Amino acid sequence: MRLKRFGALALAALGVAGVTTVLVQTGVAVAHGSMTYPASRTYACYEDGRRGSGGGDLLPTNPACKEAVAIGGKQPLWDWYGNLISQAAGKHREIIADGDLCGPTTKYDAYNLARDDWPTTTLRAGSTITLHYNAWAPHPGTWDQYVTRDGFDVTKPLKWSDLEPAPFNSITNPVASGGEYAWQATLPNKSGRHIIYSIWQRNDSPEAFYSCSDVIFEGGSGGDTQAPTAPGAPTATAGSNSVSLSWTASSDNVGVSSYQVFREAGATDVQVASGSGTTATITGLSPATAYQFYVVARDAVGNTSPPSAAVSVTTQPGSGEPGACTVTWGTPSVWTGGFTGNVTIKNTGTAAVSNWELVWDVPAGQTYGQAWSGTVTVSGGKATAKGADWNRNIAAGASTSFGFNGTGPTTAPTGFTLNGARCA
Amino acid sequence: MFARCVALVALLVGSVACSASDSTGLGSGALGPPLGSPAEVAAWVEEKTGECDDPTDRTIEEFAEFVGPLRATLYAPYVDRWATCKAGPYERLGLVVFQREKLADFQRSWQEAMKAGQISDNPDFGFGNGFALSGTIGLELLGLHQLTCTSTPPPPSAGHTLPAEAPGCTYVQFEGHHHH
Repeated sequence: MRLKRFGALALAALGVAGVTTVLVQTGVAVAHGSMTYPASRTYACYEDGRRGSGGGDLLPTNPACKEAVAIGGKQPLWDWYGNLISQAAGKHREIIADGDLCGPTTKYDAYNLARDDWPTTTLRAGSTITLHYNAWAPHPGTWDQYVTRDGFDVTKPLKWSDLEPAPFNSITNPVASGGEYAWQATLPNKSGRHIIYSIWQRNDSPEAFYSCSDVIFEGGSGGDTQAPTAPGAPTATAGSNSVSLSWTASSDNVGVSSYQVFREAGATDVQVASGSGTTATITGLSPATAYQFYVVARDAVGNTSPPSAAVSVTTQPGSGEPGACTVTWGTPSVWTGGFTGNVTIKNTGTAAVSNWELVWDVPAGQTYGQAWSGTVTVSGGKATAKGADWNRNIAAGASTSFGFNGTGPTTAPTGFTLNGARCA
Repeated sequence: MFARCVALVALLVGSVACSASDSTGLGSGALGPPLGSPAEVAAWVEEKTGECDDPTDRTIEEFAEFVGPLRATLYAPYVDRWATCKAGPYERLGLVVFQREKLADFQRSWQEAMKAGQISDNPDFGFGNGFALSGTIGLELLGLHQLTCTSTPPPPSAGHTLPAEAPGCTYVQFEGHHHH
């Protein structure tokens, strides 16, 4: 039923898209969501309210939910899937203050209440479960799931430092089916009351969603609570589009099961590789660009080591060989003397491309005007396009698009390079 | 006009905004068709989305219960009438008609509340010409705008932007995402 209704609002978007294909080609769609298992605070209180009213209204009986409604009204529960910041752009830790993690906007502020009586979900520590996340439409992006550290006190405001430094589970572009995303995750080895904090950062817009799921961990795999030691500082060997890393192993009382390699990327770092060995090759990088990488070790029950020291490395200048990108050119609208140009860049590499810059040879007679989802400038017969704040990074395997109005012939441009690397 | 429409649509401004040049004046008067009753808003949502089920007139007390006491303090004095309907994922989508002559007062009041630290965010509804919807999913695609009353200029991702009724407030659309 909800899918049908979602479809109607999506239809409104398609109605506009009927004027031009720009909407579709820029990837605009509608999406809101929240974790439904283990239930986020807003979803759990919504369900509690439905049960309390017997239908047709929301009358929560859980004390924390009741207080949240008294403070923030019922709308945050009717809109339990809309706990978001539209301009987040990955800067979660910069724009969300300690104490506001569970409800970073005024509308959802009541869900930051530091109480121990929120509805909880009981989970078995160290087990593998299927996480469920509501979504009204498929949308590219990455979900990071964090858990609170040992000793976390739910009666105190949740701070960023209360979370383990690395997510115990991350997934990019999971398959959506039946109005929800579902994927498997191995739970960390925790005991007692905790919060699973989920961040969904879309990669086709700066919008991000946040949810706090109150959980109780029981059982476990025998009480291994000791984290591995930090891996040694990586050493790096750089190519023009790749970096090879190696590091000394961590030690652990039971055994290290995997290493995760992260690229520093401002407030929210990006996992770029994982595996059981002590080497990794990061591909899809831009030539002559500085990067920093570090490594985190995990054991079989999810205990996570402190991060290693970071290594700084600059890739070699580009060789002119085709890089890890493809470019698709289209002209969805053409009129006498002018056209709308759409360009889609696909990152075919295995690492994200940051602050992308696409350069191409301008065909004779073409001029470019107003652009959207990016900027386009022309100089010396070369056009240079750069992403907007919300799409300036392209995840591995992902695409982004921008467009502009132009005059002259609709000849497809050639000679595309992405951050200096020629696109195939 | 065609070129203007192409450009605006390219900026993801909906069909309502394409007719904005037919409206006069600044502020919400330039946000598309003036809608003066919840029934008109419901009909407009129905026309645009294909659904606005079970439209129900609501009291101002129910409005306060809907948005909570803090936001009720800021919104309710300027609300003329409101209703709800079911549309999209919204089991209760608020269809809020403002007292048009008090829109500037509403915006100034919100500005002062933000300066005083009473509230940290801009209004969280999607605004049209004299009305607003409480939800956000896909609503920017209906030509609705976010109302910002901070001194921070709109970010580069901002699309269609125009001055609101009160100095310092602006109606803004953003590309590719929702209001909040």
